[in-house]
Amino acid sequence: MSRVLLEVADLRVKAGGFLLRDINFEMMGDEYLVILGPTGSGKTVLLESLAGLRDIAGGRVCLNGKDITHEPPENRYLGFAYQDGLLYNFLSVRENVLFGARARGMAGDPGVIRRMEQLVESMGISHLLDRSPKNLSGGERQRVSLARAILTRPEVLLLDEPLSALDPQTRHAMQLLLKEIHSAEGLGIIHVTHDFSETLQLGTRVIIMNNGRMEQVGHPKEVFFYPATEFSAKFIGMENIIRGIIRKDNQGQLWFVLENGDLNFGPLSEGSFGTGQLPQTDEPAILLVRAGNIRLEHGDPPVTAVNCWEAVIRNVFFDRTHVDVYCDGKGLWRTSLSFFEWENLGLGEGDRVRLSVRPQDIHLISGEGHCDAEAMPSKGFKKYVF
Amino acid sequence: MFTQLTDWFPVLLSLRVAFISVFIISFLGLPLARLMARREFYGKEFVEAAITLPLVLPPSVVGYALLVVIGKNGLLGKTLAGMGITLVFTWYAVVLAATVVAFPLMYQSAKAAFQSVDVNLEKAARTLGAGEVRIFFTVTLPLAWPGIVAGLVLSFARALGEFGATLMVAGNIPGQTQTIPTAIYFAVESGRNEAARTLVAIITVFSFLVIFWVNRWAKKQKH
Repeated sequence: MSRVLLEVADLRVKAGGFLLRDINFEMMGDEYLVILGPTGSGKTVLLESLAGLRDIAGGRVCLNGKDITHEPPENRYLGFAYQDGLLYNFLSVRENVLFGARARGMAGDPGVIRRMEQLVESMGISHLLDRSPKNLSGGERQRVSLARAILTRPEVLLLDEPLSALDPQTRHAMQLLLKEIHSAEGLGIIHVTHDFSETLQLGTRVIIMNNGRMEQVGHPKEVFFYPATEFSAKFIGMENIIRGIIRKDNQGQLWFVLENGDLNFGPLSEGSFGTGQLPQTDEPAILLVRAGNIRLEHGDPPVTAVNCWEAVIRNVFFDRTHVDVYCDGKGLWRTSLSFFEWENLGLGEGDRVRLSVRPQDIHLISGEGHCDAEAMPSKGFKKYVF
Repeated sequence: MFTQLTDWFPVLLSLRVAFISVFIISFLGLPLARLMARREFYGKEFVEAAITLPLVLPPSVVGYALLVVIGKNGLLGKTLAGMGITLVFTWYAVVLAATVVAFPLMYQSAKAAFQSVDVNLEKAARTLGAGEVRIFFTVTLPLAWPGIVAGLVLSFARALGEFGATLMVAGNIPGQTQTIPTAIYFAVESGRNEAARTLVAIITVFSFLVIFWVNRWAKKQKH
């Protein structure tokens, strides 16, 4: 079993007018932790605070049980790779990779030179050693930056948006490389990004940040299906976010009732709620359903079952692998099915359809509180939020 | 048109003064420029204005101010006189005048160069284990180098051409404090136009070559 590598308790950091606060988490030695959030949520400030590049206003950071809260960055022995690589153009690639070793007086050690040679070989950059970083591609710069960061074997590698500036193909290759580094080097990685697909592909755990606070912590897949707050749901691109209220029927069973209609979902159980606790009757709630979890069928015969309702197809968008279908029926619903399924249905815009959700796919969160929609990225979901 | 130069003293003194001034300016100006580029402190604008003042004041005013400080009855001059040291009307005063007048040029260039250095490149060096001094010499200085060289050249040229303040604090003593600019002035005054032309040609060609070479070098650095 892996040990606790990094421990952050009640961390509080002031950065200009911005305040990072209530940051609490532990990181195990073999974890790939992703810090996910929109621009301005404080994820980079958090990463820089861990690296020692920010003044800490309160709380504690421990590495291997040792308090490093006020330790300067050069004494922390953490690797750090920035978005654009931050290479020194006035030095060769070799000197860039060796920079940390030189600063620590280890560059003359034959073991370090051997390690550098192995590292650049495995990362596919050995042919670049004598070149200037000026003429490298984005992917090559990123590889050099990674080699430089891990040459002196840090126990934690901090990555600030390492894939953001890369084209899709290079990004994919870099993701594979990051996975390899994570397993081969046996180090803990903290990876900051605003991209949830990166989180799903790389992370063993994710912290969602919002306005200087931790919004949710969990396994990426758990967050994908069961976001804990409206903010998390919107940020990870939950397709159907619907407001309603909790009602109790004559038999004492709880149902989710749509705000704008008589459509009921349920009966509800503890498992339907992110908190695992049943809410009180008449409490506001938000229904979250993934587009792929809404079943779409021909409208005939008429709807009789529970968790089922009629709708009309409004828009159909073809993607390479799937079809997004927007249906209007007591609200606008987004469903997603494979190209093959869609073709078999033989439906088109304007056709009547039947939508249904399995009770186990119903996920509810509290409808209390306010979600800051300003902080959302502009693509992905904005248009589908009711 | 030109005469054979018989007295090389002004040329040699001017070069010596310019080199020494630039050395002093670098020694004091680089750390100060770095400090002013990156740190915030109370009264920073006041310090900034005071450093830049000699750039805009007439050199005669700078010379007068220097006399007030290092003159025989000056604030510092009195103390030095007590120790048997006289600065005014010596070549040390020439160096002092050139240093004060040329200092803002070096300072402004270096400060702009330090400000243009990406702070993240310095931060990256810290995470790699480098301390502040090491970062200054291995990251900040190489990145700011083109701007610093431009400052060195400008201040060298300014020190070489310094006239007004020099005349006030060091006079024009042939063989002691006479520089190229003061020698030209007094050559023209006394009707020795040919000697003046020779010195004018020397200082013009020399300055032109230095600026030409530096511009070419700076262009190369960009590519």
